[in-house]
Formats: sequence, structure tokens, C-alpha cells
Amino acid sequence: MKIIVLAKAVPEVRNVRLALKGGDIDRSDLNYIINEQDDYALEEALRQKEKNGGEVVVLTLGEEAGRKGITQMVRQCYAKGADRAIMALDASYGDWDDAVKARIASSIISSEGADIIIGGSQSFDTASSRFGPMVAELLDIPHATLITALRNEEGGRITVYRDLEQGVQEIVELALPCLVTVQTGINTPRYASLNKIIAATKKEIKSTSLTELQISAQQIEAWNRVRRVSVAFPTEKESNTLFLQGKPEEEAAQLVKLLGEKGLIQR
Amino acid sequence: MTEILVVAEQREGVLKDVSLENISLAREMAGNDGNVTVLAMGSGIKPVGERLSLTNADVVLIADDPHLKDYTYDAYRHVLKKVAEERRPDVIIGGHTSLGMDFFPGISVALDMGVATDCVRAVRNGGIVTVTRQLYGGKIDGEFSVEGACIITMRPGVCKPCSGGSVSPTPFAADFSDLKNRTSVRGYEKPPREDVDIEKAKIVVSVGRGIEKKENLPIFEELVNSLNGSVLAGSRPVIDSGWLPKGRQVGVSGKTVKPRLYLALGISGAIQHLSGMSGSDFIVAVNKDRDAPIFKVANVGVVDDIFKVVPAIVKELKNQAQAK
Repeated sequence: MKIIVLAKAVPEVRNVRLALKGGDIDRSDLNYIINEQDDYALEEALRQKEKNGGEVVVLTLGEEAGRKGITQMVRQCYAKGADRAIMALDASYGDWDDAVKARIASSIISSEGADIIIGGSQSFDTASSRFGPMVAELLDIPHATLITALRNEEGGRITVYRDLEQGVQEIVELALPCLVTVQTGINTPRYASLNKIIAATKKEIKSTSLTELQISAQQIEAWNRVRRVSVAFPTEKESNTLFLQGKPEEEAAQLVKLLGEKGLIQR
Repeated sequence: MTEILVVAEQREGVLKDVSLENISLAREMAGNDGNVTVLAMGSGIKPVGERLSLTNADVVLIADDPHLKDYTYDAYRHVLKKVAEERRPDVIIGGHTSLGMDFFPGISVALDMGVATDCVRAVRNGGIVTVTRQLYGGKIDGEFSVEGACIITMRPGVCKPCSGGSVSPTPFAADFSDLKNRTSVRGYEKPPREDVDIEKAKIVVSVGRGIEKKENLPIFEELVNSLNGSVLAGSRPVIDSGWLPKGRQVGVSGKTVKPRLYLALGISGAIQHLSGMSGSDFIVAVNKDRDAPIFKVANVGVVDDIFKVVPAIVKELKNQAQAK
């Protein structure tokens, strides 16, 4: 069983005040981490390998400026048990539509070949959930998105559970090779030990480029249909939020008083 | 003439609200002389056609066929390709739902159209579609332009439902003889019934990733014990980690709650969560991150450490109970 994991390094923005720079957010001071759903995808791939044997290959696309953070993410994947990694970084990555990224990925995947391609159901930064199913269509293989369970069946098939709305799960069977995107919670991702992370620094990461893939600037231009015009902080819609101030005890006292006065809690 | 095609969504013969919202957006985009076509797919979906006949769309196409009983990418692609070839839409509009997320990115490649998903706003001016999307967990708004004929998927609830009208549905007969379906739906699983019904509670105390670990749950259970009529619920990461059962999940893939009081503790407010609780009467949020999107829907915000604030609230409630 050969599994390709689509992993993306995303800037960690939780508990961070963001700044804007040149039509995008300023990433220069941000740490990169593996996109949360992709971490679950990697775990699912590693479990498949442990059960059925085979190879786990991590494929990541990203911006040249993020090389350091992306390399660290790949090393984390190595430390967890990935066998190989392919990295395609480009200075223009940040301006690309997923349609461009999907074509680059599918070009790499079609020469690699795989039984299962697995990625996260969305990325935290752009959250458009387009990349995976686009890659599947380009490779002409079936796909299932938002999966919460994966079971191997006889005869090169798998059964997956998909998240629908309101807690309903859809049970879908599909033939390999196929592409699936996972939801958080499908498993519990393992931690990488420090020793393994250190050992992983010596492991080679294969780099590829548009030149090597024979993709021209004209092709990129033609595929790039959705373009970012600007970014902004959300306009505060005359926020009616009342922010309580003070020490925790003072905040708690104000809150309990306020909720009592509004009759929201019994006094 | 501008042609806008809305792909309606139904489950078990019930039309999803987002379809009506997308018809109103299509109407706006089509302008005075443009045409709005709605396509619904399914099997035995007469009620869907009836509902759509009461809208202000111009054409309603109903693809009613056993091949379309469940959503499968291949069968849906098969039909939409045929409809798109016939109608040559400038814009195709769908919902950013579980089905929409599975269907539209792939079909955009198959139809060679650009696709922008999970849009919270969309306009068409001079043939160019401009959309607004939320980035970085709702901390940033991004504006994007989409070149040429395109597909957009709208976040449910962001547009007003369309006006009434009268249009007779037209059956759309698709020939499925050359369809090779590579996926098959084996069934559906409904969530198990829970001991506690969080949808009925007057007060929902909801915990998120900020609680850090399961061992910290008692701190929040104590708050539940001090508040009459309250139940403990959680956001997706808490359920994923197995700290609370699935039936306690608030959000798109969990439950929608509308209590009198919703306490969001250590919840950042991802859109999947907000759509499950923003209809609550009164929302209190406690989070360390001043920029967490949860504060945008909160009536009262406390930017502080939940591990300090929550015990202080419990203490305050106890003091009050004793004072009585």
C-alpha cells in the first residue's frame, strides 16, 4: 500500500495579533505548524502502513519564504514515521489559486503513483476545502471528503464515514486508488519524540520545481482564476459586545451580577 | 444574456434553506434581463419541485432519477455537466455544505471554471465576480476576484431567502446509460441518543480547546453544578479528543442550540461552531485571545484566563447562594 499524504504548513495564528503587509498578512514573525487536519491525515496513513505494510510519502507545496517552517513540518512528519517527502516551494505560491496548486500536486502524484491519497478536509489559513477533490478530478480517481472513519475492505476497496450536517454520517464505499480528506477526530495523532525529530534532520527531503515538472508561467497564469484582491481585518459591526474589565474575581462578580439582573440565572 | 445557475440542495425531499438564499443572490447577479435557472437533483423529489415553483427563479429543472437517490460525485457531475453544456451559465452557485464541499471543487476542474468556496458575500459587476471569504479562522477577511465563467459556493445563512414567484418545474431527463459510478453510498448513521439533551437546556456551558486536557473538566462541571438548568457541552476539538461524548457537540456536525444563556469557555469560535450557537439569546465568551471570533457574536466578553475566571464565577455563585 502506497499512501501519499497532502500536508500543508500553516502559520499559527491562535492567540496572535495579526498584522497586514502588502495585500496579505505579515507572516515574517509567525511560526509554521502542520495544518491540524493534515496531522490526522498523516496519522491515518501511518496506521494504514502499520496494518498493511507499504510506504508513506508526504507531499507539501508552499511558499519559498516559508522554507524553514515547512522543512520543520516535514521533519515532524519524518519523526512520526513518514518514509519520504517531496517539497515543491515557489516564490509565487501565495498568489496561487488552489486550481494551480492542485495541478502541480497532481503532476507530482501521477509520476509517483499511489493507492490512497489522503489530506485534511480544510486548511486553517484559507479554509476553502478545494485542493483535495480538485486533485482527485485531475487524476481521474474517486474521492470522499470530510471522513471520520476509514475501513479496508476486500478487493482493493475502502469504506469511509463522511460527516454530514447535524451529526449524521454517510457511509460510502470506493475503489482504490482514491483520494480522501479527513476530519479532526478520525484518530488521535501521535507525538514525535525529540530523539526522532533530531534524527529526522539528517533525512533527505526531495525538492522539485516548476521547471523540473515542466510547468510554464503561461500555464500557471491560465489556471490562476481566483485572485486575492485585498485582505482586511473584519469590520467591527458596531460591536455591542460588553467587555468586562479587571481582575478575574472582579470580572466574575460583574458577570454574575449582570446575568442575575437580566434574569438569565436564578439568584 | 446573463445566465446564473443555482444548484439546489435537498435531503430526503426537503429543500435546504441555502438553496433559497442562493436564488436571491442569483437574482441580484442576473440583473433585470438575466436568467436564473435552478437545478435540483434527487429521486422522488416532487416536494422539492413544488417548493421551487413558488420562487422567483425563471427556470426550474428537476432531475429526478433513481441514480440520484443519494449524492454521489459521479452522478451529480454527470447531470451538471449536461445542464451546463445546455445553459452555458456565467455563474454556478451552490451551498458550502458537506455536499457542496465534496462536489464543486472537482466539477470546477471538469467544467474548466474557477471556483471560490465558502463565500460570505458575492457580487457580479461588468462580468467579474468578486467574493469575500473569511481567512485564518475568521481573523481576516479576504476579497477575491474570479475570472471568467465561475462557480461559487455560499456559506449558509449569509443571504436573504428569495422572494416568492411562480414557475412551473421542468423535468430534466439525463441519460445515465454511460455513467460509471465509482462510489456508492451504503447507508447513513444517525448520532446515538444521549443521556442529556443539550438542545433543550436553558443554559449551555460550552468548553473548547482552551480547557487543555480532560483532567480539567471538573472545573467546568462545578460551574454546571452551580447553575440551575445548565448542561455541559463542547466544541469539536473537545469531542474529537474524547473528553465529552458526541451528543454534547455544538456546531455544524453536531447540534444547533439556542439556549437563553450560552457560556463559551476557551472557545475561539470557528464558523462551524458559531453556526451551531449564534442563535442563543445571550452569549458570554471567556477567552485569552482578544481577536478570537467568538467575541463577535458575544453579548459579554471577558478577555482572560478561563482557569482563573471560571473558579471565580463558581465562588461568586456560592457566595450569593449563601447570602440568601
